[in-house]
Amino acid sequence: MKKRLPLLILLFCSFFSFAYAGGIVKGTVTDKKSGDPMIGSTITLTNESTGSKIVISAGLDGSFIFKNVESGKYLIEAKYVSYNNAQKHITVDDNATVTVNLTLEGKNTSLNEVNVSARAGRETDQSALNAEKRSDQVLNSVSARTIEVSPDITVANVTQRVSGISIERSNNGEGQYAIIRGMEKRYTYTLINGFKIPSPDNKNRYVPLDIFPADIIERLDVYKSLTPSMEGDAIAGGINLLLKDAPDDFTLKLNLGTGFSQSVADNGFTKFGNNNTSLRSPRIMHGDNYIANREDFSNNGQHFTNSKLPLGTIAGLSIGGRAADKKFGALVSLSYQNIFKDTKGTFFSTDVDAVSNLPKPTNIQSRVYNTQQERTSAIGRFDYKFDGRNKLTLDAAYIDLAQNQYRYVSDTSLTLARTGVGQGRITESPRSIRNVQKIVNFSLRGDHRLSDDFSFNWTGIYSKATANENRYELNLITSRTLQTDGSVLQAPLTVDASNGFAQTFAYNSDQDKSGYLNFIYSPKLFGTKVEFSAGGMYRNKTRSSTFDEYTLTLPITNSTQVYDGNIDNNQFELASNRQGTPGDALNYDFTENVGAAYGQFKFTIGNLQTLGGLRYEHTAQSWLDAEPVTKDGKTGSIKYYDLLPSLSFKYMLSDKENLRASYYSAISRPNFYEIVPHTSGDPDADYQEVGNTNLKHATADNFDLRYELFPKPLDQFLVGVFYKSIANPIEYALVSSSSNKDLVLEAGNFGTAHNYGLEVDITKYISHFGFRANYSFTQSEITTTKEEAYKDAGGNNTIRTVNQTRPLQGQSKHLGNLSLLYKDTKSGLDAQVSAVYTGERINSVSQFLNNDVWQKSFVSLDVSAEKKIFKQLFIYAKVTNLLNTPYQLFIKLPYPPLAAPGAAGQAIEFQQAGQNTFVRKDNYQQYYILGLHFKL
Amino acid sequence: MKTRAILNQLIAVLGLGIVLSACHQKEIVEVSAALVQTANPITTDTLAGTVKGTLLSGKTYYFKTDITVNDGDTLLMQNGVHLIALGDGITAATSPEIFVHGTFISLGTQDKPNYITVKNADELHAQAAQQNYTNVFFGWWGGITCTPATPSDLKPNPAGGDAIIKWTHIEFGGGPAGALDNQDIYKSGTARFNMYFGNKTKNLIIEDSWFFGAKDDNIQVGGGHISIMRNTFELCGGVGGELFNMKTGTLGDIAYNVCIGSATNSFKISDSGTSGIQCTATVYNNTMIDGGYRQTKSGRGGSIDFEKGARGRAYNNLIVNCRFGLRVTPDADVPNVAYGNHAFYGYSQAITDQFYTSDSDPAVKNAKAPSDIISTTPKQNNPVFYGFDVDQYDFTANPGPISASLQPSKIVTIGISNFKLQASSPALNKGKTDFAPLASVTTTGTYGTTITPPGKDIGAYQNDGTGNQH
Repeated sequence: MKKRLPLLILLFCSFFSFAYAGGIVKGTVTDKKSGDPMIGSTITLTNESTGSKIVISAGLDGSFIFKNVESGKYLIEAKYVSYNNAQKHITVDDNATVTVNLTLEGKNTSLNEVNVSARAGRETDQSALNAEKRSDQVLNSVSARTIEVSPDITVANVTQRVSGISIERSNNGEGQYAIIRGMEKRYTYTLINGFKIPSPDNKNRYVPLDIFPADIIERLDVYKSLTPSMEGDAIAGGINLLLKDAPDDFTLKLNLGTGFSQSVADNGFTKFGNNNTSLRSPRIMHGDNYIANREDFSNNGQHFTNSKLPLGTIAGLSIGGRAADKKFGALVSLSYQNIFKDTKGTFFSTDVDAVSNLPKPTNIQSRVYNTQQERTSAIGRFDYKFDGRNKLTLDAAYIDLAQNQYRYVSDTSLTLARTGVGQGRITESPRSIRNVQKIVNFSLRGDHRLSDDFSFNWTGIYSKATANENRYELNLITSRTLQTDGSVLQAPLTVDASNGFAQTFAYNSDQDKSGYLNFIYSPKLFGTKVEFSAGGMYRNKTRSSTFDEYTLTLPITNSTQVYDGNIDNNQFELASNRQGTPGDALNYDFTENVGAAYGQFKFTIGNLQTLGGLRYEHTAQSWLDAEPVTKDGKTGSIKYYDLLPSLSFKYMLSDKENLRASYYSAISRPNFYEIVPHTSGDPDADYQEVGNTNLKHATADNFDLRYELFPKPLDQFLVGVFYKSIANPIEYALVSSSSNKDLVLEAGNFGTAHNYGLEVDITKYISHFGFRANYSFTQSEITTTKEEAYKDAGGNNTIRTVNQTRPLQGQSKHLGNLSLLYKDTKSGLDAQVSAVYTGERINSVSQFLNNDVWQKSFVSLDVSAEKKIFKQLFIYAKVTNLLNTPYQLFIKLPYPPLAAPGAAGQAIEFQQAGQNTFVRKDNYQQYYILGLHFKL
Repeated sequence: MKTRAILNQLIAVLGLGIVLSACHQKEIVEVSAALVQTANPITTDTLAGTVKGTLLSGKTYYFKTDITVNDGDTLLMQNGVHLIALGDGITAATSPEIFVHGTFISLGTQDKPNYITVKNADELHAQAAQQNYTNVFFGWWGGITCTPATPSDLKPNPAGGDAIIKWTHIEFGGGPAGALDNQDIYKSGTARFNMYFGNKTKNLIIEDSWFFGAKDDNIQVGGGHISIMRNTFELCGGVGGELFNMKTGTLGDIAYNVCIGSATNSFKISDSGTSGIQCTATVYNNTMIDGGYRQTKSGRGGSIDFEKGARGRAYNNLIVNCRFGLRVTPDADVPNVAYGNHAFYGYSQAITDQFYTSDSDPAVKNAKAPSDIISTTPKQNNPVFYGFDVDQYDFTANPGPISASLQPSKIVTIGISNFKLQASSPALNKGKTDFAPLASVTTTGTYGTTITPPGKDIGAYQNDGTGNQH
């Protein structure tokens, strides 16, 4: 695969055209009003004597060039949809160059220009860039057009192209969460059209970004600073998904594609029964006192079939337009994606040596994941402009991600029955999970202008996110033992009598009802127009979560059963937890009411724009959990308020340069699950999790300084520095449980963390070529307590507590992005190569000194191309993860010198004495997509 | 221009004011505290809720729901007391548990032992004798759980209390755990033990008592000073579980116990956990018969197991037809595990091959104690019990793992067997006596422990009549 890369670049470069002798006509086509380049406008050069015509289209910078033009008189004409044509008469001489600059003027649509923001054309790159340039705050933008021609099909993967952002992937290699400026996902919020949405995650507030297909959004904005009018719980920043708006002209877009993954082609794909049903637990169906029996549980989740090469589907339909009087506009987008992927991985679970504190692998696991992700979404936007002063907008969105995952883990113990290399106790677990996440969101917004200097808007939102998960796990045991003839035999494969067949049922819902009201008054004071805004919001959030686990075990009379691959041949009984797990911590109800008010001003004197103000947020939380009254914290409430000032300056050095300085104060509220005082939790977690009712919200002071240069309408150069001081940052730490039996994971506050860095962002277009690059350097520090195992003077193996300073979890010191683009509107070819570099970062924090698990730095490479094949019909191809970049984890401590099997330092593949300790390696392989776009 | 200067100043002042005005209110937190009910005096024969006081000699008491002994309180059973758990083992609520945050004392005597059992105990024993174990391993009640109370403002660091159990039968625990249990000890829905003790500064004394028919582990200790002397442990663990399982923070002696028919180990010593006190045990003069056959997972033991970080000493133990013998895994504190003077008997080659388990640390496997009575061929060194035929069951044909229902009663319960040694036994006078018990429990007297020092005969019964008195 690596060898194909130079070829690709060569291919890319071969699109260069070469100059000939003769007359040259060149110039640019720009928008008369905004000065933006009219990319893709057609330029026709007509010889006035012969009538012969040459047609080309403007490049990415709005430029065009006709070479080898015969001398004579010509009419040059530029055209663009919904713009009036522009033309000029010119004379061309041999060996001379004529420069013609044409400007196009938009056709007038009277209602379009009204003050209630007309947002036609938000999907373009110019629009994204203008958003960055004109924004009141520090912002990065990605346009729908950029997304469409990029290799990315989910919003999560789009975010990684933005400077200072890296992504956290799920176990199928799909990006899931954005890490802005090296800060944990808890410090970021996700907005749709500027409003918060609830999360389907049963433990967290943040929304997994892989639920959103990329083609529903018009623009993705990443806020890196906040204004008082924005909600204040985004210390790292906010991600705003602007959904598509009703266009002025009738628009129809159709997209149909198919895809497959290399690993599925190589290894096939395992499907399971019940992959289309979501079930609630018998306890939820029949009540807490219901005694379940064997018949309540089907074996379907453990019935597997192999599919050779299931093909993926990508389909999208977007249709919209505006009534003849332009008052009523509508846009409906439907999107469907169905993707099959395989992941293979090797994982070592580790402990530390009780004397040396060095990492000690305890188990080696081989893992196979087969993941199907089916995304379905329907989004509608309807607006009605009563007149130039009043407008109503109704948004409705339904977003659904159904995931079916089959996992097979084979886990060999490196201590139990480990009498030599390749021997030991093995547990095998075929597992299937059906997980369905849904978000429904309705919002109604009114914009009203009462007079030239006074307007107000209001929004009412109902939003609900749900998730339902069914998990079917079979636990099998076998061992590899040395036979008398010296061979190693792996047999028999039997069912684990006490852990047998486990079924879990998890359901979560998170519902928001919120209202927003904003007033904007813009009087002239001292000859300067000052915009005052004030407003408030109130949100009632109710979250409830239920969880049940049932384990089918083997009867005493038949406790040694061989597994032959068909679970129907095994006999199970429901012996111990016939009631489910009503006492589990994941059964809770949580209410959060947030009320906020703000005042904000904005004015420009000379070249300096000043925006500032103050926000007040009041938080009231309360819960009721499944704990009995004889334990602490069955009910509880937490209340606090914050005053969050913000001030930003934008100094316009010239009409192409800005210098920005901003300060804002922000908070981060703990997740509900972290507060509710439970003592058990996620069955999939490595450690039990406990709640912490004393958890404080994190607060931060954030400073940004940025220089922006926009030399040409599509080119930009941004360089900025930031500093954040976070008080009471929330991190997970392993602490001793009340019983000392195990370590438990608890969220806590850890002093003050400091985070600073530098970001550089460059975009440059030369005719048909584009170059986008960004780099960010981030440094963060946090000090937490760690444990160190050692032998004391009395010969007692014990543990002492030491402080260790480390970077924030998930923060890479270096992040880089590089995209090369080619665009030729005439031939209708778009191509892009994108590379992302993610420097090493802490993947998980260990409770032991120096034992943090790091993710190795990596480069991932994606390519995509689109070609016009017939008028409005385009064919496109995307290849992601071209280099088959693995996901690798390690501990920065040496694997100990060679020792006996079962002991620290035993010989085992992947580990080398003296080298960093290997923890995990997953391979996702390439994913290929081929499809058609139709645009009208 | 003047207005501009004014405005600029205004901006500067305003700006400074804004930056300084950030204010974050400290959380006002109200959390419901654990509800503690003052103990009820014992007035009827049915115990419920929070109790303290004395269960009177010779009387029978019942409990149908969980009972709790508060921090600082004591529940004392005089001799000859029957305490009957009325449970169906179906749900946590209907499998009552004894929560002890204070002190629990059961002072049975040789003539008048105490019983903490279920109503149909006789029926269950009869079924066990007929090789029908389904109800024996069913798990009818929730066992005795000794842990510190929930910390409160009044008592921020409760330490729990002692548990002193003498001449007492404790049987048939194992009902499913529920929300009332500490999920760190008992995850909802899992089987509870006959007894759990986790007070690392307190004492656990179990002397001359009988344990029978736990669904999973019989006794688990998550920290404490222990003295486990002269007990009988029979037929515990349906498909897995140890007779006595000790974790980090546990220090003490285990001696003169007779163990038969364990699912896995008789004694498992492991430093797993986070107390910072290394688990240390002296295991001596115990007799272990036919252990480890019901554990379906490989890589487990069948008699004495020193695992993860554990240290201690093992001497004078008699290990007969256990699926695995002495096991000191490579992750144990191997240099600090001392052993010797053991007598091993194996019916089959497979048993004989595992007298020192094959997955023990090479430093142990390659340094078998010369003081052991051991052979590499089966059926050597018969300990010559008074009333137990060591060759009555064909372990060659049934090497394990095996379903309980296939194990004859006579090899997993004591019944009429007698494990005293005849004069012809090779184990007589082979014991090591020149070492001292750990004596971690120092109190003596009625509420203290009586430590029997190491004996000259290997196993739990001494020819001079000392040792196990059952």
